Amino acid sequence: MKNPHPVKRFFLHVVLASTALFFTACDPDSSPAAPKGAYEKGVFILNEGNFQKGNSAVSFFDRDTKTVVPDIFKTVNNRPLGDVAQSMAAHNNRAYLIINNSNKVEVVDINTFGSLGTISGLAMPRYFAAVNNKGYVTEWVNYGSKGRVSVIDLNTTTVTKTIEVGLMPENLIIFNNKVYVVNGSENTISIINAGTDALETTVTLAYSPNSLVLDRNNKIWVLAGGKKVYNPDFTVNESQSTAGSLIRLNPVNNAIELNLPFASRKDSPGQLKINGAKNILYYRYAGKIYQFDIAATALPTNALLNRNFYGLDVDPATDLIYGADAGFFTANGKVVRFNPNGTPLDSFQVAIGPNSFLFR
Amino acid sequence: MARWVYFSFLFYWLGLPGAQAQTDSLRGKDLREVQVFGQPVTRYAAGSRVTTLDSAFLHLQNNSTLAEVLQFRTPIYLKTYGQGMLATAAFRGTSASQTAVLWHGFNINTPTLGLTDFSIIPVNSFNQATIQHGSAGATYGTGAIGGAILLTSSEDQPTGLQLQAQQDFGSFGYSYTSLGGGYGNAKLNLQTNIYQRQAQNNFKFRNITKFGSPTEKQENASLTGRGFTQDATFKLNSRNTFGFHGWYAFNDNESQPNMVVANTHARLQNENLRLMTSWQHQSALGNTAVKAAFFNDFMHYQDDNNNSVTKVQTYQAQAEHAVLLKEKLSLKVGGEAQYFAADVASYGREVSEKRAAIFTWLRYNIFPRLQLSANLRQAIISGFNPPLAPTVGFNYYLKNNPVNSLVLKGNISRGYRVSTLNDRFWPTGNLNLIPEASWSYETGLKHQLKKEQLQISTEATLYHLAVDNWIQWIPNLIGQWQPQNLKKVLSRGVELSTEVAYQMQTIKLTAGSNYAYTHTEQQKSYQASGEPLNQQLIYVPKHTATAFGNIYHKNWLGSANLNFTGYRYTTAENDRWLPSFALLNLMVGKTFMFQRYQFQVIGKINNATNQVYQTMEYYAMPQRNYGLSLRFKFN
Repeated sequence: MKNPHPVKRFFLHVVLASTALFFTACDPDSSPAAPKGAYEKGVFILNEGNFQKGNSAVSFFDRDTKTVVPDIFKTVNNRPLGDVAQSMAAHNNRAYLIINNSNKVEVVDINTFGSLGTISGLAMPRYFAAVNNKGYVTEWVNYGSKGRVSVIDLNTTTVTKTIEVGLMPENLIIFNNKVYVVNGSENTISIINAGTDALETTVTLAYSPNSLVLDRNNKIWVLAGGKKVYNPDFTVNESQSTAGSLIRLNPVNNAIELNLPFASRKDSPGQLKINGAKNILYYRYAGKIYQFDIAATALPTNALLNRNFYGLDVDPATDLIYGADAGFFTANGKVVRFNPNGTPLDSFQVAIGPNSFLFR
Repeated sequence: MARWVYFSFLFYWLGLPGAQAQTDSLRGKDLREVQVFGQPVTRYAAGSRVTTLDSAFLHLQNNSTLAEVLQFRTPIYLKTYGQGMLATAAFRGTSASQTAVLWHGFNINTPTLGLTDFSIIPVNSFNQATIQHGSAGATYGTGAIGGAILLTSSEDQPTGLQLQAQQDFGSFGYSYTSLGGGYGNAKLNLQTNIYQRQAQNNFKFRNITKFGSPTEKQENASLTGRGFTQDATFKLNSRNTFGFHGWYAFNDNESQPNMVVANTHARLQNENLRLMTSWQHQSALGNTAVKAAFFNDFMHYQDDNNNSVTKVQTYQAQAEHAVLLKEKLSLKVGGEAQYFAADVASYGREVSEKRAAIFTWLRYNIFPRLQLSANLRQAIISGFNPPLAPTVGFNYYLKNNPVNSLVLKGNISRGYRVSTLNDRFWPTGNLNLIPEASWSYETGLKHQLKKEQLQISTEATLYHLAVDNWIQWIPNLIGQWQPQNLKKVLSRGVELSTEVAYQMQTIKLTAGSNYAYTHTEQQKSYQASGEPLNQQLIYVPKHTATAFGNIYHKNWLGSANLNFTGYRYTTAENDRWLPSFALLNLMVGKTFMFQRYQFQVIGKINNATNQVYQTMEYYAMPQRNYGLSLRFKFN
């Protein structure tokens, strides 16, 4: 942009300064709080990118203006986010970006997205949750060997302890000072005491649990994909496989209160999410999106959305459903928004391979 | 539609003088013995752009790889995944598997991946490299869509005994050792070369992807390679010649991780044994050549989480017969057969495949001014035959005198590529793939000037290359990646080149340059991929250029080679790109002669301008570095 003429620039400064003075002098109490950053309020879309291409990105969607900034990490920090962004979590005005194939977690100010540091020394990290100024990262470590949870001191952003869990630990939630970790390649959930950071117990659930949420009755819902045995041509061997299931776990006594098996042994349900009121679950099954009321005792037969999404979530502020369409991973993906009743609302383009959302 | 207009135009050219030539057909009975073999296959490539890599350059760079020499002398964009790492070609905007690479007439693209890694083809394993630009399925078979690279050993045979020894050193732990020898007499010619090469590649670079852009030392990028070549020809008598070529190469290379990813200690081992033997027979009926080859390709990829072994054995035979039908009309007919036996752990079973092809090639120099060629190939593969592949082309001399010649060229050609074994037999492979197919149209002008000490050769080519049923791996509904005939791609461009040689008493100067403009876009997608149409494909530079200059004075030589690579988009939307770069390599050498012994010392500066660049995004490349070559030769 061309610089204004010096005299004009001086005039501009005077006007700006006096305007600022006018506003501050006039009524300081009623003026809106200064924004903490460009990305204080909106929807973050995590785009995993292509394996080994280093093109992960966080896109930012402004609900009011409906504008998208495609790659805010790179825009702010002038370097790429990393290779295969798996997940993103917020805690105390910071965002933690779990970058799977870079074996790191990027820490940023959630309002400005300015980089605050990098947590390294991780091995195939997957998901993050935090409590007591400590972060917990699930890690696969290696295919075929036990996974682990690394405990991170959030002040120094360094790993202070590692706790062995089951095979391929996936998502985790923290409730009542306990960390619940689903082990994706076996049939268990590991429960870690967040006070002592020691494994408290391992509860057997169902094969391949992949996601979990806490409802408003403080019950934990776990979605398990089912055990899948593959034929040589990578189709599912149905006779040797088991169906997935939706499970309600009572964290008070670790009892399974409800176990709802799915019909198909071939398809794996996944992407369990919950709405803002914490009474309606959403998940993906057999290429469609379903809705489930926590009071129900049977799985729904009719889909809410007859469409497959790579990533799925519900905006707690608006109850709008966000679906991430990653396409063939060769071009930018898109996000499609739906009204709570399932009617499509609008869509917008993000970056390559959108997989999850964070609402602020 | 345009295709048929073009065809009829060419047939008009073919038909008209053909009718006039009928009268002297009687002469056709008088089959004279002519040296048809020894004629390059490019004889049948009238109208298309064919270039040869400068043998003096190949000799100076004999310790490097085909990837490096192509980068500095051709418009082909080499997608290089780090220093000395996996390098695949984008020729006229096409994909890595759409360039055929032939060694003594046999395709060496691996049947599993369908491509050649140019970083493991050492320059010392061939003496001649010919580059066919554009589709040429009729002559080179599968894979010749963007073009073909033909590797052969030298035509010049040694007489008496020759010996060579060479030792090179370079930055980042580079070392290259080779020993070679040759013997020749009237009947027998033998040439042997053995080499070993290694590099640590622990160069420093600024990691621009990390907080604070720290300077790091490259990890996991060391290279080790060794191999030998053996060429033998035996002239039994004036009518029968036997040939044998053997090429063994072993490479054990770490795979350089890019700046963004975790180092997973990836390592790629390749062991390739290629043997071929030929018999050439001349008789009153023409010239017959029979060739047989055996390839054993072993590949082992491993990293912290993967371990994959691929073994493929390829047995193949070719037979062809060439006749001179008339004074200036030569016809070659032939056939080939291939048998692949693949033992790939991931396939879950042994896989074999038989392929065959028949072809006929015609070259007709109707008038001194007009040369025509018309070629045809039909490949046969059980289950899915590739399309019939014709080529027609002409060279028309607008001007032809001892000083000046100006040729107008035109060519239309079909290319095709059979899907690879991985495409079909990988667990998520697709048995319903049909071969990729292309139509390539080109026209050009070539001017040559020979005047006393000065020689200038200039060529300009315009092309239009449409590739249909382009195969790409994409995820299906349940997230499994599977190959599909996904795209129709159109590539259009211009290629310009000029070379000058000037001799003046004790000084000889040679110089040249190449420029290519490449516009390649997806025109159609057969599935809703989300990839926008009509955008430049990723990693296809619109502009590439090379330039070189050599000076020879008495026993001294100086050489400069420049590569310019324009910006390349890294996203399908064309909203991000890698910046353009220029690489300059300099060499100075001196030769000392003592009777029949010759010593040569060559000093090299690579990346002399200290350019920071990437050919693939986030893969670090070394800045200025040095090399020294000590060469000994007897005879």
